[in-house]
This record gives sequence, C-alpha cells and structure tokens, in this order.
Amino acid sequence: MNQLPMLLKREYWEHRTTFLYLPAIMSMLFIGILLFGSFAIQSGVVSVSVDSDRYENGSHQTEEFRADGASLLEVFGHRINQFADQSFSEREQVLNRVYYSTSVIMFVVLWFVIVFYFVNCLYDDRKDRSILFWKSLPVSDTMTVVSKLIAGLIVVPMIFLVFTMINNVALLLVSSIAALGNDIDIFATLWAPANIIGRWITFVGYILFAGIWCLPFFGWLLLISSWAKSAPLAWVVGIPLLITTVERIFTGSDVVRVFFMQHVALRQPVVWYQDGYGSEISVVSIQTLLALIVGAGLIGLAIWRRGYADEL
Amino acid sequence: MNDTGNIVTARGLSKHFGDFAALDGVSFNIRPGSIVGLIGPNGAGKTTTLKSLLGLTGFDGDLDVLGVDPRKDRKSLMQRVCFISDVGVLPRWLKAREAVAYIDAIHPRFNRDKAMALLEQTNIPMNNRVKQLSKGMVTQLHLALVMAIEVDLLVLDEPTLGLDILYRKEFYDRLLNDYFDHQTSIIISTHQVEEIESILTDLLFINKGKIVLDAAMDDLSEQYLEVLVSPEHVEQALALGPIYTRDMLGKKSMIFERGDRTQLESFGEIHVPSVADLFVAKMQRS
Repeated sequence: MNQLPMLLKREYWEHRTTFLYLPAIMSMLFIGILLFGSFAIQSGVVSVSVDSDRYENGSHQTEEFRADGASLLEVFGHRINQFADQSFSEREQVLNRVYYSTSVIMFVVLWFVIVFYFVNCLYDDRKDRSILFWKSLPVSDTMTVVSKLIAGLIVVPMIFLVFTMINNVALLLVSSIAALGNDIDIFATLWAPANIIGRWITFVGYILFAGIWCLPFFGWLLLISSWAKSAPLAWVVGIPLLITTVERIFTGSDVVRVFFMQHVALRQPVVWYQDGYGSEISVVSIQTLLALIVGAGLIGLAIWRRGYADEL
Repeated sequence: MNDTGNIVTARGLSKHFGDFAALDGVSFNIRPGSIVGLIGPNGAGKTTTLKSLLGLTGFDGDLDVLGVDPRKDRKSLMQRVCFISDVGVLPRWLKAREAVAYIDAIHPRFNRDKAMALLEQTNIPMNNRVKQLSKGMVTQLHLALVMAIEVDLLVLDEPTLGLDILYRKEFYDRLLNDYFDHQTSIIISTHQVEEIESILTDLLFINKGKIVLDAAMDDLSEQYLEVLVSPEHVEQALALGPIYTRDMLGKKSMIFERGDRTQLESFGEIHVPSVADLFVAKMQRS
C-alpha cells in the first residue's frame, strides 16, 4: 500500500499553522492592504505623495506629486499613459521589479518555514516521546524521512506558490481596474509584460532546482534533527562554524565555509529575474551533481540515525 | 512464530549504558496465546526489554520476535506487533479522527469499523486533539486504536501508569474481555503486581537487568508455598531455608521454593503465595 500520501497529510496536520495558515494570512494581508489602499486613495481618505524617478524616457527626473482623491487618479492616469509609451522590455523590467518586490517576502518566509521544519521534524517527536507511537506502526525509517523531505521541498513551496499566484493576480487586477478609463491597451501594457504565468512556471523550476542545489544544507538539517539530544539549531550552526574555524587555522583555506554558504540558499532568485541579473550557477554542472551527492549522503545518515532513535 | 513454536525467543540480551547494565544476559520465551507479566521495580530493565522486542533500541544477544530480528526489520515486525506505552506517547497535536485515518491508511491489519465502534463507547470527541483529552481518554483512544489491529503480539509498557483506579480497571477489563482471544500473546510490564495478577498466564520477574523468576502461573503452586509457621516450629522451618520470612499476627510467614509439601504442612497453615509476596521475596534475594 502506498503510504506516502498519508505521510504527507500527517506532516500537514502537524504543521498546518506554518504550512497553510501563515501564507494564507500573508496573502490576505497583502490583498487587504492593496484593496484598502486603492479604496482609501480613490475616496480621498488619505493623501499620498508620489516620488518618481526613472519613469521618464531616458532621463532621470525627479518629480513629486502631492495628491489626494481624484487628483491622484489623474496622476495615475498620467503615469500609466507614460508607462504605456515605454518599450515592451522597459515595461517588462519595471513590472519584474514590482512583482518581485511584492512576492519576495513570501520566499523569505518560505525559506524560514522550511528550515525550521527540517530542523525540528526528527527532533520534536523524540522530545515529546511520540516517536514511540510513530515507530510502533509499520512505516520504515526511510519512508518517514523521505516523506518529510518531500513535504518540505515540494508540498510547502507549492502551497506558498498558490498564495503567491493569488497575490500576483490580485495585483494585476487592481492595477488593471485603476488603469481603466485611460486610453491604453491594458493587456499589452500590463498583462503581457507582467507574464505572470511564465513567472509561476519559472518558480516551479526554481523550487525544484533549489531542492537539489540546497540538498546538502537540508540534508544537514535533517541529520542534526535526527541526531541532536538538545538544541538542534545550535548544532546546525555550531558544527559548521567549528569546522570552518579549524580549517582556517590549520590550512588557511575556506572550502567548507564557501560550500556551506553557497548551498544554504540559491543566493539570488536567479531564474526569477529574467533581466540579465542571471546566475553564475548552471543547472547542469559538476557543482549540482556534487550537491546532490553530498545531500543524499547526509540524508542517508539521517535515515540510519533515525533507525536507532529513541525518546529523549 | 519461529521454529521453536514461540512468539518470542530471547537469548542473552544485554545492553549497557556506560558501566550500568540495563540488561544483563536476559533470556526468556513467550508462548503463543499467553499473557506474560514482566514485573520489576523501577529501573529494573522492563522498558529496555520491551523496546528491544519492538526494535526501538539496540542491544546485544539473540532475539527472535515472530521470526524477525527486530533490529533488522522493524517495519514488517510492526505489522504483527502492537505497542502501548504509558499515556504520554500519542502526539499532542493529533486529533482522534486523524489518528484513525492515519492508521487506517498505513496499517494493513487495521479494522476501521471496529475502531469506530470501540470509540463510540467512549466520550472522546473525534475532532479533539490529544492535548484536549484527559489522561484516561488518551488511554481509551490508544487502546481502541490498538484493539482494532489484528496482531500476534501486543506489548504494553506500564499502560495504566498515572491513571485513576476506574480507568485502570476498565483498561484491563476491556483488554481481557474484548480483545484477548488466545490467538494474540500479550506482554505487560508493570510494577503494580496486584492489578494484573489475575489475568496473567506467565510471570517474568526482572531485577537489575536479570531475570529472577520465569514461571507459568499454573506452576507456581508446585514451586512455591507459603507457610504460616507456629512459633514452636520456627527453628525447624528456618533450617529448611525459606526464601522469605516476615512476621504475621504473632506467627512467622515463610515462603519456600520447591519445599516438601507434607513436611511444610506439619509447620502450619499452607497456601500458594500471592504474586506480590513472591515478588518481594525475589527482589530481596537478588
């Protein structure tokens, strides 16, 4: 019988606060601020000042508009018309920045959720003794660890992606509605260069690659989680710190630190920016293979350790 | 079952924590259909023995549980063995409903309808988390889940620790009346002997990591006799080497191992010692 779906469900049951409620609340807050902001500005409840530079063709001018209510709409109309006059790639760049900056908080939180999940997932049940219950059921240690790995590297990112999608669509709809009444082609001006669907597909690719690239780090977290008798987070940080210090003192080199730091996260969301910020990491490379091997080795050790794991 | 016909065959189980021997050459068998009481004081090695049977801890020695070495294949073993430890091991965040769904999906021998029927007899709200249930309810929940799994060996480690007497009694009543069918073997550890004395078929006393008594309940009467010795026979009786002596209403109560019944009867009133008295006797001598 295929146990994986139920094992993933189990992870969701235990962690639904961080797996589901947290991104859902973040998304609701984002949309709430978006709607309230639009409404407040439009109805003149608040006044805003708009600083703008770099929107002007070519030259870097700084203008300031103080606006409230109706006059702000005028400003927005003015802006959106200017925006529509820009080239497609310029618009793409601007929207890239807008969508990236409104989504990046999701990815940062996602990273923290995954890290804390992995650090504790093989530790908490030893601490609260429930490991005696889980281990009294016919689920192999390999299956247990693999299910947690899949939950952290695929299920949780996909949930966060769904809420990012909702945020993206909300932003697109609100900006489209605001742009109504101006003599511009909304699809060509806002929708096409925003390319949100391409963005989502890229995100999936990014997540899958990050799962492989950061496998040494996540494997490390799982190993410490299954091994530590107390304070797993302290071991997670402390051991690499010790190793890098020893390495520096005795060999003067920096290999471990560089490797560790490289694989803690995909430093820039490389494939997210499609505008020449590009990455120095190639998906198919020796480094990727090395990450996969080191990561798999650490996960193997975590599984082996789990076999001997007892209540604390 | 293995080729010896036993559910469990343990030979020379040892486990050391530094200088401390949690298990020191423990050997025993469990026959099919028996209810074994593993009895010993705190720290005697009860839990370590049971964890060894379940593959939850490493050890030295030979152990065969249903033909499997628990160190090697816990997963397949757990399809045929169930385990209830004291009330603390159900995860606090788990809802009763989720517990049923989980075991239903991963355990090939789980009978969902039976579990639901058992749970209906309790007051457990299915949407409550374990942490919202009383200790007694948590035990009821765990017992209902386990009773709905058809296994060959049930391992209970101090299952009623910390429960009040009503729940303790209900627990053992249910176990015996609704569950025990002479197909399943049960091993129960406890340090409260009196509570389970009446349901056991076999006794294992353990102290300081060693088995100090291994007997079928039916054989106790042949092996052990307690005599209420009148004052005039005390010296005679002491010469026969009782394993335990205590004062009782002006007389001496003595327990003899493999004593001559006719001879002992001449000293005074004779009967089979209670498991509790036998336990005290054995613990004092080891």
